[in-house]
Amino acid sequence: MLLLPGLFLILFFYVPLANLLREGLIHDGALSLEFVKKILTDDYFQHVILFTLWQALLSTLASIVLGLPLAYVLAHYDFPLKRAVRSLTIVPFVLPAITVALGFALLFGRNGYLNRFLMGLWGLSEPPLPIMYSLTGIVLAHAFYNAPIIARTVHAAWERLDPRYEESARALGASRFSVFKDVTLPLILPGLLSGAALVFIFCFLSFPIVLSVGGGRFSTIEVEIYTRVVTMLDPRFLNYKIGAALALVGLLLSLGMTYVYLRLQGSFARQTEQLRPRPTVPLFAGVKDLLRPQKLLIWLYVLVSLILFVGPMLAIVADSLWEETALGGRWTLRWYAYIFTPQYEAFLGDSPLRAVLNSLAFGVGATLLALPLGVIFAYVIVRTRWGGRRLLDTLLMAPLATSSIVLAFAFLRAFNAPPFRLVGTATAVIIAHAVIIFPFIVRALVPVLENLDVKLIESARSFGASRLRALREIELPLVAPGLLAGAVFAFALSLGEMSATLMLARPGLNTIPVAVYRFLSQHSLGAPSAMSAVMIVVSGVAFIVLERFGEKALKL
Amino acid sequence: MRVTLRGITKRFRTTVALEDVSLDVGDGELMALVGPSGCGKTTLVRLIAGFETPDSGDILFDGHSVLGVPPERRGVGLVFQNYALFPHMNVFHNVAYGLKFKRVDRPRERVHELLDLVGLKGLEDRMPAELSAGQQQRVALARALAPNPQVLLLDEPLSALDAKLRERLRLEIRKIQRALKITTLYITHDQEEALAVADRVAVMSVAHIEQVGAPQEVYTTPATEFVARFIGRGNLVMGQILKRDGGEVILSVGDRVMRARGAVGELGQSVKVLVRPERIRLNHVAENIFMGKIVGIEFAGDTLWLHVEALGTTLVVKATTLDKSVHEGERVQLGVSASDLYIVPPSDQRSPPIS
Repeated sequence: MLLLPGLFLILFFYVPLANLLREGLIHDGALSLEFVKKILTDDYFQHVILFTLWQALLSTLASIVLGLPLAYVLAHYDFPLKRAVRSLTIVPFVLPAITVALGFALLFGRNGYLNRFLMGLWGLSEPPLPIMYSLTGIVLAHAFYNAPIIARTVHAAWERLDPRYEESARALGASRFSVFKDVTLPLILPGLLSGAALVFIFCFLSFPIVLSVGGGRFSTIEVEIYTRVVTMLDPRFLNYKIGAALALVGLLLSLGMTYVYLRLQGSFARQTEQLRPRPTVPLFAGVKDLLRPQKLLIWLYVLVSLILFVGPMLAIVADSLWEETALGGRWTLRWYAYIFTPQYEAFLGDSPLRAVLNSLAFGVGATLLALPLGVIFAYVIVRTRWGGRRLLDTLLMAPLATSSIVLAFAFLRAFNAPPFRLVGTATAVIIAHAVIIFPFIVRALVPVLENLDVKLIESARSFGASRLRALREIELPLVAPGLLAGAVFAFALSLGEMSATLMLARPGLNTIPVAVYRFLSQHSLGAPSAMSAVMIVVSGVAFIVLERFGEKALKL
Repeated sequence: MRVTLRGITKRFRTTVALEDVSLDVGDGELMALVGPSGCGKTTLVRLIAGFETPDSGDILFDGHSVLGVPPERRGVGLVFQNYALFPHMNVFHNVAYGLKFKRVDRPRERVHELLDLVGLKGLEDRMPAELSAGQQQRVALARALAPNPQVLLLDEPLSALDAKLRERLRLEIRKIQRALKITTLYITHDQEEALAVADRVAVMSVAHIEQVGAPQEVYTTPATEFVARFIGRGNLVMGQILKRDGGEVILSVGDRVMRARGAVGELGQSVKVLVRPERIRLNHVAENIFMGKIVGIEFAGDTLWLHVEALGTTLVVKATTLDKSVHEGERVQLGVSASDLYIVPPSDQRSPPIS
């Protein structure tokens, strides 16, 4: 029983991955660094790798610039709905990346709401904000996605920082600025760096946003692998070799970064806990106060945040309810009707309804597979003294650092022949989803079990309860909210997964995100917005459940 | 530097932290501010340090209002209960931090001088996490004293330490404070510590000061029932004033008539009478003599705490192991001088203490 999660990871992650990496190291039947060397020396691939790192770096910096002010405001001010705003920072974990890409296209595209609005406002003939299909667009979309993570980790660090450090410094004669420079910043830096490292990994491995917002003009390692493996005709399988070598290089880089992240997070967790709550002041303190320079900066930030964070989501909802007609346009529900029709669409290779049903089925399947395994895995890590426990913990690191694209690529190569002829079946997609969400599930479940005091079970048993009865009457009721949160989290992650699904998809295996991507590539709007709106609603429900039952549990 | 608080009131949202508090700490004086947790002591410190602004009232240093002066310009040294040593700086840099913002000749020497003063020479390179709690406390004191503050605020400086170390360090703090002649406000919830360390003690209950006086004064003549209960161990028994006889008062207590001191109360009024456990003596002849029955004995090394049923209540009596033949269930004769029975001014009339 306890070995099942390990077996699952080995069979469906390590073996196919090793098989894939081996492929990149074999040339003409012999072990060779030929392809790796080619990747590292060829100008084009060098450019791809450097661009991947460069866009990740810019995106991380943008996320910090956008996330830090929120952390500051949350740590220092009181305002209505503060709790809600704070909770909303977990949304990126459950919001599918492709909806962000779509929202950006609708809002910032050449023909998007913002450009049309500004063209009308200033009487321009050209869109003034060429954000779509540019590096700026990629960086901004990544920032949309990851600034909340920065805000979250930094706010946590800030909140845990005892205000008496800063007060001691002030009493010793330090100005506000000196206090920040000498005391506050060094003490929240581990939190900031840990958040930044996580964001860097996410951006490094990002696929849907680079593909859709970049519009195919920008190739990162992930996009390059996808293009070579899925869209190029490749009679000699050379692209497979190059893809495998690229995967190897990318994996080494992201593993290194994951290691740095876990180390930083560890050092961050060891910091002193706070003894006194941080004093906060109301954000709204009279009309005169609203116009102070500091407050004006905050209002500017709120405005930018509204455009960047709320704008794309509103754009999706608006577009899903709008229909262009000869007379201009009108409000409509036809897109929602359309996505539930079984009508064949050539560019989908199937019907929109199929995609909706698939998403549901895959989500349920992946959750049913990953959740029990995750529970067992977390149980082994938290509760047992078994020697292999640390090994298990380490086994979990690689899946976290491996992109969905690489995993799907490995599936394509490994499960294309007996005994596992899975490619082209729903099973392959469900298993891939389960592997991808597995590390997130475990990391969310570990604190749930850690929070449960073993003494409760021991005392139940001392009263004569059998182990099974203690499990049923004590443990299960106590961990049930955490399990529910874990299940919802798993479902939401699976629902939003696009990268691996796109690689593994065949006609009939489309999911909502894949369909959204295909619609978007066709520049067909309305229908993808309706689909994305549905996903936003599901993400919203997931968010509420997580917020209600699992906010503490959800730790990444 | 003389520190004066005038009519300070401070509210946080709906709760009143301080209500019309006035206090005067003389130049070079060590004033202990003692009270239960949540009574507003820490708010008072934060007001003096400049981290909070009073809703009304004034704070004066040597007669000059410091309201509006930011914390970094008040010249106040501050030591917190958890010390708040900068965890990312070693001992040297912690102590030197306050010197960065002052023109100090030869700052290195100053740091060494202070570490010497608190007995931590040679630990300059240690990080706070590598120090014991007692050492951390000393570093915090050295750090606060380094920029030569005019006022020292110690907010529960010893509360995080164990009892033995607490007793030793409070003596050291007292010695250093005397040597530097620095005006000091010493916050504590431990009344014994307050009595032991201070020139004067200010006793706080919720949001206001109940009494200010020398340690002996608050101990022997508490101004209110709260002070009587909070300071020291004591017995409060109900009595009724029968008549006055010169400086003394004749009371009925339980089924006895007793003589007591204290100028408050009218004839026929019910009052609370304080008698300290060490002032009730076994088999002793005094103005007031009564019988009691020992119902419990606590052994505390040099002391025996007796629980004695007498005067219609249970009294705590301090005895020593020299007091022979003390057994549970035994009836004993107890004697108390009239001067040791003190009528506590009732809480509704907060009259000044009688001396």
